[in-house]
Amino acid sequence: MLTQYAPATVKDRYVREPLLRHRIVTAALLLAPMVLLLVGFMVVPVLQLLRSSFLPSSHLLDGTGFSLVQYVRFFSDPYYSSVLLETFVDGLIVSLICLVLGFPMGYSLARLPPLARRWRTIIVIMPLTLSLVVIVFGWLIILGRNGLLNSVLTSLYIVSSPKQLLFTRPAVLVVLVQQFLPFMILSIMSVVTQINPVLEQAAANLRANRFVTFRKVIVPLAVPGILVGFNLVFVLSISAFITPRLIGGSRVAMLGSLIYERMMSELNWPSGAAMAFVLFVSGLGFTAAFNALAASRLIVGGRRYAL
Amino acid sequence: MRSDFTDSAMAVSGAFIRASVYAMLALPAILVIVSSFTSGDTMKFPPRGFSLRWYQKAVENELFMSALWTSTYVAVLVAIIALVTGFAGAFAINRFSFPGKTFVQGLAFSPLIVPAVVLGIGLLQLFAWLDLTQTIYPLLLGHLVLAIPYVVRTILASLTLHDRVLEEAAMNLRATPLQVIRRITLPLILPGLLSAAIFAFVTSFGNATVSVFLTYGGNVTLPVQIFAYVDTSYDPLVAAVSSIMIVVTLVVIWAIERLIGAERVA
Amino acid sequence: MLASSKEYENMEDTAQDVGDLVVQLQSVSRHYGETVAVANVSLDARRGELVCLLGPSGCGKTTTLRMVAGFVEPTSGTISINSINMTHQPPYRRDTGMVFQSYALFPHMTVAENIAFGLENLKWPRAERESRVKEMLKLVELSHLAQRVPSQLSGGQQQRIALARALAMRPAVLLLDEPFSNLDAQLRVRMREELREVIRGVNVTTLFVTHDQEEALTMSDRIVVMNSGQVEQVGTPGEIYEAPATPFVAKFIGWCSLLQGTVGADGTFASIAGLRLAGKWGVGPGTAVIRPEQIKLATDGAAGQSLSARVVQSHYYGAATRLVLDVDGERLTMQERFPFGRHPTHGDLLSITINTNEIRILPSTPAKS
Repeated sequence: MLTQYAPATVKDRYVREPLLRHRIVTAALLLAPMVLLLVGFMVVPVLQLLRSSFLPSSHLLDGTGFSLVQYVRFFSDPYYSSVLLETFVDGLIVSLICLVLGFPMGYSLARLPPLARRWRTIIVIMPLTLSLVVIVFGWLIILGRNGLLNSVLTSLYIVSSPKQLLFTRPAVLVVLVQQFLPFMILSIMSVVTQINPVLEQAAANLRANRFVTFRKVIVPLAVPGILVGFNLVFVLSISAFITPRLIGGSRVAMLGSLIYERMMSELNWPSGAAMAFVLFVSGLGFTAAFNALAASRLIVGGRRYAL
Repeated sequence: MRSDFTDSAMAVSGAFIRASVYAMLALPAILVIVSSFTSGDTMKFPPRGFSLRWYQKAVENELFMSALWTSTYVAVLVAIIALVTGFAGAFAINRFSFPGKTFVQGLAFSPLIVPAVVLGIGLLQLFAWLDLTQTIYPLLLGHLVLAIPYVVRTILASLTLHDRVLEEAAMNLRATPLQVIRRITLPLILPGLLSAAIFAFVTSFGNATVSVFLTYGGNVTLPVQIFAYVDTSYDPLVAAVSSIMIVVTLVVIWAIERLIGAERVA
Repeated sequence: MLASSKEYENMEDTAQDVGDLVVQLQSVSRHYGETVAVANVSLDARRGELVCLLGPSGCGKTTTLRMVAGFVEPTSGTISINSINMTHQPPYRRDTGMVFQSYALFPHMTVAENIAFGLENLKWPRAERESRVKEMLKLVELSHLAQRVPSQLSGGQQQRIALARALAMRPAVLLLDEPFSNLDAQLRVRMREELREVIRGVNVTTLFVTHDQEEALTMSDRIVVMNSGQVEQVGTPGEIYEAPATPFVAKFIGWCSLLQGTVGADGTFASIAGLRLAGKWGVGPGTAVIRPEQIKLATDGAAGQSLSARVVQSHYYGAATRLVLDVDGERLTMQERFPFGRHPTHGDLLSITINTNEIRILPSTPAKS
């Protein structure tokens, strides 16, 4: 299949290997299924969505034409702007908490002997492989009026009657942190694994205490992992909609859940599409800006020390 | 003295953070399983009594069981197709140099950063336009797109770790390129391939965020069914169904652990 | 065996001239962008000959070997094996057997499967394959390990299996890439002798890459000394050691002191610092190559020719002591065994003689710096 090359003459056969000559063709054939799949069912739908966000209609996809009305409506309504801002602030808070918790986790995992690492890693990747809805359901059991937390608090007489924990913003943030923390832990773990522990011993030998070693050796070298983890958690958090909907209910508005509502309940696709695009593009822009900032501030310094 | 204090402060706070985080990560799943054995009629903590009645109800529930079947069926198909396309793509990226390589690599990983709502709505609209919403294709293709980054990443990692000198040795021993792939490369990266397939399976099996838009027709997956159910009601039946999902997932993680070591997920 | 496997015996069925060239490289170069890894290298190996590519790391010797094996394509020049142009042939069409530096045994196959791998690709019938595997295992004296997997073998055993695997196909040329670098010092010497014996036994043409001059001197029929991608000198171990063509070769093979200077009209060499060596060399600027063994402690009878030397460094090696001496402002290295407790130390004065008959002066040429 890869070597459809019939030698015309014996001499030809000894001139050059067909696989080498047709390297580009072979590569293209190997890549074709994957690229077609991604273009056909990711790039095309996203572009199509972009197109329909410029439809003037406010119901499904009827109507044609081109108008900025959906975007104008979105940005002129202070409610949406505040939800957008709130969503970004939430995403930042979640990413920062994940970073603070994830760094010691990822670092210690990377430095553990393989056997001790094993069961810990299983706990870390479980939330990733487990369905989101199952995790959220688990949190309903913890945070519900008759849930674990309330029963612990009342039996310890910290509160006299069960408190309303669900449908609050902190609850949503906690659940998002738990869901996305594994991404942060794993990206930091993978980068710390590549940092030679001898560097830390060298730092200690050069009279650096653990904090100085951490700040001046580990963190600069771990910057790529931190960036990957931070971006991933941020993008996932701002586009979350199942968690805000089930944990936050109607009281905690995040952009993702608004879009879901707009699409699935009100069937206003052009408006939903426009909102989805605002989310997508602003999220990308934010992470790009963040990366550029981090790159100029940290990576340059980090590289200098690294090499 | 001050240094010693910083060191021990860091050690203590680190240990405390780690213990709480492990607890937080494991807690939801443990609670779901514990609650599923309740004999009571409502979700209450601590659960009352012990019974398997909610499991019996779950198995008898037509909606959940057909959803479980749909999920499994789609996930198996996704695993197979994603493995084949992903392997071909990863192999090309790893072994060939061609113009636009960085772009292709970026494309392969981009499903990770496209928000689920964007992908979900986009696919819904595409399949509505193609008039295929009532079929299995939206779910299948949507999940395939989501699985590709995980498959490509796992196989790329295997190929990178794989010792190329072994392939040169095989060629020196007169094996043609196709023979080298069949007899040396594939057997040696088999654990990576299996893990990639398992990743694809779990990605599809557990997905709710994209599926929710694509089960417009009759094919409802289990996570979507649970989402719909929890959205309106809240009882131990869901705990039993969720526990089934947890068990499936744990078996799968265990398999990955045995194959390549769980830490390679990152 | 004679009748049945005759057709695979490519060693016997082609021309048997001793001068028959099995491997031939003609003006082979390899560029990586701006960098030149191998520049205009020509070399050959006759049937049954053991040729060594010797040089420091990065000198292009491994690249040259890999071009013979077909893993690297030359930018220009031709490579032929048994007089067939192989320059652009893929590795699996070339009649070579290679032992890799890391041995590259297939971890998912047993020892026997590893050895049989090449034979399967050559489409040998099963029975002959099996008997050949047995034969090869016997050759390297590891018959009892046939069913083990590589990870259960020691480094030395892995190396012998890699050799058996390469030789099983009866290749026209055996390629060895730093075959001893992964072994510890003692095992290295033993494996060197064993390997030499096996190669002699099967009489296979061998190209061998190393950076270890001792390995090269003890094992090879001919040595190709390489430096910065170019061939410095080709010759027998004796020629290379006794008659180095360039200062680089002299310095690289064994210890020596190099003195810059000029040979005057009377044939006497005068170094820049002023050390004079009486002799009958050709007139002109040149570099004197003085080996440690050419310097001796002066005996009482030779008072007239002795030189006064001050010890600058003294290194004790057990069997001998290596001294760096200051003689008339030049640094010379000598090696001598001193009685216990009588080792010279820094600052001591010695009286030495230099055996000028064996000293070579390499004339300076504008081309070679």
